Amino acid sequence: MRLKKIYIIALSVVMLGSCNKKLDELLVNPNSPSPDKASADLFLTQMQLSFANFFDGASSFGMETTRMIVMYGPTYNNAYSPQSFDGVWSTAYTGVLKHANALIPIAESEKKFVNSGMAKTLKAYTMMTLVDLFGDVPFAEANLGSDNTNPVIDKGQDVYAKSVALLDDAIADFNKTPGAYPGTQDLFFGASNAAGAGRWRTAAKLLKLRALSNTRLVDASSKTKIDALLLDADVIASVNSSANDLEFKYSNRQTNPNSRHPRYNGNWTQTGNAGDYMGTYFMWVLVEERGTGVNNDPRTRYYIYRQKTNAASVNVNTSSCSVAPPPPHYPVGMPFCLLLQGYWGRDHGDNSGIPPDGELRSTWGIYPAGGEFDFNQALRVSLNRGGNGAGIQPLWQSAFTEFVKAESALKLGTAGSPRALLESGIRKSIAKVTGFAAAIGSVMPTTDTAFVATPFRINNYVNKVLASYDAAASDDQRLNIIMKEYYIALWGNGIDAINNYRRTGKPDNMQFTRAAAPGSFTRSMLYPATLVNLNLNASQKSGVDVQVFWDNNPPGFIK
Amino acid sequence: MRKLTLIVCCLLFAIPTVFAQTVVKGRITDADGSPLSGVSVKVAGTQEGTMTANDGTFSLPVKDLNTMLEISYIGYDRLTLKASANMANLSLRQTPGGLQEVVVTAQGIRRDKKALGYAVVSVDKKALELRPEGDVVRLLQGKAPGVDILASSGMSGSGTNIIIRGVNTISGGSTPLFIVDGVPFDASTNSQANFQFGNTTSSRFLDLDPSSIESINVLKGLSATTLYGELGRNGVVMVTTKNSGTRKVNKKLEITVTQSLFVNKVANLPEYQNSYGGGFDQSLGFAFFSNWGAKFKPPGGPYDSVNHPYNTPALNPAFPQFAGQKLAFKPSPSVENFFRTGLIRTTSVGVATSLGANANFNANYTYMDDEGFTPGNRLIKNTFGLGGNAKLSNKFTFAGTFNYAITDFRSPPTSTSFGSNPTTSSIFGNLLYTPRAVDIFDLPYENPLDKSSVYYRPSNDIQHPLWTVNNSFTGQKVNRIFGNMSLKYDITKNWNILYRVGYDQYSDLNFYSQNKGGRVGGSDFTLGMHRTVNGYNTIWDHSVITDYNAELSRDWRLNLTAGANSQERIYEQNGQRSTQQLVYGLFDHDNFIVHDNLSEDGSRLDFKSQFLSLGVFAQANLAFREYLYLSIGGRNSWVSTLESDNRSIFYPSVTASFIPTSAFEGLKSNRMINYLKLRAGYSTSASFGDPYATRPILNINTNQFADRAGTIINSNSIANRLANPNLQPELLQEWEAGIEGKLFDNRFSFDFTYYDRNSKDQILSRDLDPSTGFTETSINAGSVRNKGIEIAAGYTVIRNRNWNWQIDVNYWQNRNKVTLPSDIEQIVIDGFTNEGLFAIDGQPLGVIKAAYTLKDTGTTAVSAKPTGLRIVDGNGNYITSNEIGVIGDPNPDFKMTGISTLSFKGITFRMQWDYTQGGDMLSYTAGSVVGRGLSKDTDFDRVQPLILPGVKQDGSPNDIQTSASQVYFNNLSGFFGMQDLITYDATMIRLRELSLSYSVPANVLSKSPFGAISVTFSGQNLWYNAPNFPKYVNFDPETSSLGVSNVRGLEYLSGPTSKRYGVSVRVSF
Repeated sequence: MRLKKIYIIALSVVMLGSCNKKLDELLVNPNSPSPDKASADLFLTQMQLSFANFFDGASSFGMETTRMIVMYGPTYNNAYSPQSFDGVWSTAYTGVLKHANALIPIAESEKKFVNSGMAKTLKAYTMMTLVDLFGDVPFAEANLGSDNTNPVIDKGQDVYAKSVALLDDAIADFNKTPGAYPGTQDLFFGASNAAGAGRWRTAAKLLKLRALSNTRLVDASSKTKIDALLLDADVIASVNSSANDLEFKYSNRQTNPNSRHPRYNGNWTQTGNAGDYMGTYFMWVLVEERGTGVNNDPRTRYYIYRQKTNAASVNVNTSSCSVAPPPPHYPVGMPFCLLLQGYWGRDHGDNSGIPPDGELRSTWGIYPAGGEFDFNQALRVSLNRGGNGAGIQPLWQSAFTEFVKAESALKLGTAGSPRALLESGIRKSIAKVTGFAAAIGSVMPTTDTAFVATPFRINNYVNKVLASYDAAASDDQRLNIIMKEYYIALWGNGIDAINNYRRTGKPDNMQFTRAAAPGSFTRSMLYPATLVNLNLNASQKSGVDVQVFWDNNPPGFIK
Repeated sequence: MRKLTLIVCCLLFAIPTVFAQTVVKGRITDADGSPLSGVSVKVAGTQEGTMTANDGTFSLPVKDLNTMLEISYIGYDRLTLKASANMANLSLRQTPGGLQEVVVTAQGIRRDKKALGYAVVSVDKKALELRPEGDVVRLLQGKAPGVDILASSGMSGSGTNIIIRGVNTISGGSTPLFIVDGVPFDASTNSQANFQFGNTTSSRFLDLDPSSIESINVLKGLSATTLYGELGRNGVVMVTTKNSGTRKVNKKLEITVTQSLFVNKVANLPEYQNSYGGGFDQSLGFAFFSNWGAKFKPPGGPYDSVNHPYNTPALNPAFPQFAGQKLAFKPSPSVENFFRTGLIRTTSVGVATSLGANANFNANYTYMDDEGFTPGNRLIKNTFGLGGNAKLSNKFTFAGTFNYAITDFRSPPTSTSFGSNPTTSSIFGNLLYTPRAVDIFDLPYENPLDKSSVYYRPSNDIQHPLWTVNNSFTGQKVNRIFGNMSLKYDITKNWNILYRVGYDQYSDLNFYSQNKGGRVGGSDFTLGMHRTVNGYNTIWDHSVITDYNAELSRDWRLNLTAGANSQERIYEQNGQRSTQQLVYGLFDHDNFIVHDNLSEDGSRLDFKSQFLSLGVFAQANLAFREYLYLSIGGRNSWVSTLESDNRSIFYPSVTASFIPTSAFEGLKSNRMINYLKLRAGYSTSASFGDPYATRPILNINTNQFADRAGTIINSNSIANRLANPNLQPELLQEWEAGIEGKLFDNRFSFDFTYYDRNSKDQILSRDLDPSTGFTETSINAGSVRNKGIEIAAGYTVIRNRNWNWQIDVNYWQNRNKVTLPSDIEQIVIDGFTNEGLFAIDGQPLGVIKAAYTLKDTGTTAVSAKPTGLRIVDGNGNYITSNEIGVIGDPNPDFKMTGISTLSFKGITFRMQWDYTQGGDMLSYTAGSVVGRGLSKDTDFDRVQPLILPGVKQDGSPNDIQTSASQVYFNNLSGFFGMQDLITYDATMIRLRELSLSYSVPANVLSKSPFGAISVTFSGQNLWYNAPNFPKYVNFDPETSSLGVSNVRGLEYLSGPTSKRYGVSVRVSF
């Protein structure tokens, strides 16, 4: 008995020892690698792809509120629930910033300075955009994981200042000689040599210019700073070519993996139904405001594709507004409901039921989503057409630089002639747009001068704009003309559109919401639900009338 | 550790053996041949005596063989007889109305029911067999207080929720442990995509065959389940199959054949109005989703007509027959005609035999073909079972069962819908609010040229329901083997040791296949999709258990049980999802262009997960005379999901029971109190959470993007789940106390239980603000406390030679409260972050939070008093909140069941009524059927302007007129964030079961080859009423769009429930 007992105990101890080992082994997840396998290049890709998603999401809110595409509203306060912002919020912090933060030390230790510079540049852009959208946001205590599960919210101006400092850090990195270039891992410039690194350096400087312009109302030294930056050789050289345009490039690959522009995916569908509604106002600006037919904006057919070129499908079922009078609060001349020749969109703040009009809606043309050029083909959308979705996210272009300089010259008296910069901006934008098909490797389906932007039409358009500029009676009117052209050029970039609108109040003839009393314009977005609900240091703001730090315009300044 | 091993060893070996002298030996069984343990065997007129062991045997030293023995056992007739040397085959007859005395408890230990210090519910085969339902768990509905069962939908083969005594955990699982013939049985529901995609998934207890079940015991409290450790924390459903072979048959060979035929019909459809057709604001719009259009011309016509929806330039080549055609604008009963009457056919054959005195053998086979009321939905089950036991020599007993189940289930997909186009293909998504003028059967569903879906909208943006039926398929094919083998060795008469191995292995082929040509869900679906997933599940369970019975003195008896157990669960799956079908109609991955390893919801199809639990346990049961029982038990478990410092835990348990009617003879009187028992217990358990939460990981994203040169870009990312190496187990503690008794000549019986369970240190999947860099993590925080009462009462109204009428009532109420630390505002349990079920401090678990309409808080200029009325905006529409708020509590106030069993000679008439009081449900079926102007609730004069009840923003009464369509569509439908307006109280009453059976009397059959013949007519879910939903929606709240989940209360057009009835005939030879 005694021996038996000892034997049993010994056996048990041995068994439990081996069991413990087995229990330890089962702690390791067999489905995923451990974090020590991380790589600066693989993180870089993740950061850039996240960034493209972030830009697309953030840009949507800007395009919707500035009438480029529809905002259903009906009021600004209820146009977006806090949950609407959960996606961009999460993409920013867990997609862009987390991987930027993780790769910077790895890249620096491996002397991959272009990688680290890119991380800093995109991180700065993301942080500034979060401030532009939401105002004050977490930064100093953000992305600490378990060390701080309730990051405090930092003042917008502090975040901006730190972001500008990050851009300076990035410029320093781009000036260093890297151990290796990212090459194809860089989905913006494909930087594989010093010239590629130089493009990033230029981009970082232009983003500094953009930041200075954004904050010019609250920064007394902005004139000095902008003037100084305008003397920078990179900045001067940047406007001479579109090679320095900062843009995320999608490809025409439909599957495995789908690498197309999200707007193309959402609208050029297999079911033949476009998903987005173009804003009635934006299309009106293109096709009617400056004149119709050959007098309209030469970019129109590149920007907007029509599934129908006439009004034959208009009836009460497909367009309930077509049988209604314009709302009484709309001034005479304000666009409402339908436009000429099948430009089918939706009014600002129209939340009525969605009619069966997916095959009728005007949708994204060749620029910037890689859709189809409109030459009156009047075909329903389908899956593989036009540029096949090889579009771009236009973060920054030489045209934008010119418009920023024009605005700054007019309002701050920085270097340059506002009129000349305006003209340059328009021409650069039109050149970018008309050359876009070639740039993405797509063939223009027609050379018919009735449709493409001929030099005659371009000059005609530019002259009309400049004539109205010359006829303008005040700087306010001149600013309106500059900002209107800037607004048109921004197609696809809602972030700068809503920033410009809040900063300048221009264009000043934006369509009103369908409801007479939409409440304050979205001076900043409500905080995301995930922030408010999950972070003890956050609470929802009082409303969308809360202004971001660089917006010192009066309440009710814009509608 | 060493200490514990010592204790176990002591339990195993240190008990001194009791030696017997010259003795009378015997074995006592019940009428069925099952051994009875704890039977008192006494020398008549003395206190000398003994009790039978677990196998029914006893030995008693006596003076000589002329001694008279008195054998007594509560619930059985007393037996007095002369002693003989071998009394091997004594059987006791059950006293009519007596007690079911022996119950199978945790780890298969059979114990006297009176000795148990906790509640246990036994459901006999009579309450399970011959029913039109193949899901054993659904058959338990209402039969056990404290056991809450909810079918996820009315589809045949759909998953079933079972939760015992409320949900104990915020983030963990709540499915109880299933033990079949003593070994664990996987009861999970292996969904391959989240609930939004509507891939209906069966719960794997579907593989059990109800007709092979002998009985089910439900161990509800921790006191009952402590020997199972953490695995038993959610309760244990112990299934004993006929194959376990303990039943002795009287004949050499008994064959039973059962044939059933039932019909399966849709139980609830809205009552639709036939006055108005599609459109808006009374203007005719045939192509509209909504039914707020023109009034139909009176029946008989002439009707208005509309352009035939297929008379379009695009469709003219495909449908030349409709060119230039018009379609009458008249109502048609599309939804009503869509559903079919399914047939349920069950054939079952059982064989039982006793091979001599020491061996039993059992086999059965059942075929079940359950055709759903929804076209395309079908469940076919083939179940085989074999089992038996044999006493090999005097000391060894071998027992084993072997079961093989083939389950084939298919259904069309049922993705969620918010009352507009569904997320992906959904059979119910657009169907239930089909505009009245659209005749589903009159409009061809496919384009004859390319087989793509066509329907009534010119934009062709919704999928024809019949196209979905004919082109979209989901399902699971399961092959499963489960069973056990055990070998018992009787060391002495009172001491035995048992080794048992259990295995449960299945392969589950889960598929979702859809032809190209659909219209919803994006190009991943519309271009065709084929997803196949093979899941392999394995459970190995080994136990060594020793059991010792000792009579310490004349008054004291001791039973000791000790054992060790290891349980390993391995789940491994691999799968592929292919999209872009090349040739229409063929589902083969080769016929698809794009292949991926992610499910449609983005989750990985290839993964494995392994879990190991080791435990040692012991229990001592001490009995004083026949009225005081004490049980002390404990288990120590080591579990693989947590780091080594946190993986070991000890679960103690103490229970006691006291029987005053035995202690004080004077208390007992046949006319008043026959039996009374008081019991109490305290026990603990734990939960270790899901595997792999303690170590950080990287995500691999291959083939993530292709640049313009075609270079494939891969990436790594840091997982959004923050690992927590310090995770501890959740701790559960439960008190329970109860009283049970029999009164008035055993006519009235009752069993009352109160329990209070607190689960602390919850392993929470806590959502993080993404600005932390992560979106979720696992932490220990908060608690969930469940308190409740369970009452089972029965009354025999009539009891005489021919008539018997028994009424049973079960009542259960549970109150549940969440406590969270102050730094956690709330946790989403299920649903969506902006509309879901939440855990919030101080609230019941799973309250519904969503957007809601703003109410007057008395801060306006006109009124300083809060009126609580809803506020309208300048257009007369309600204003929606910016944030989500609590709009309902889905937990019911109480549940009650009444069962009446009336029998006259061989005829038995049985009824079961279930009633649920309270519990809220957010229902998009109700919202969209009313909000889109379809149900009769909207059959009023729609031309009259309406004013929504409420106040304007200045506080004055609302006087802004709007149209009927505006009021219903924009406000009362729930489409625009006014979810409080489509959240209803889900009180319901239901006729769960009705059956009438007739058994041919034995004397009639005595000269025939038949042993028994019976005919049973039965029906399930024959009638129900949920009075607080809109009247004509006829909504049945017994459904959940979340599938199998801890929580309920969200309904996204999950479809109607089923009503089943038919007849069964059983013949035995």
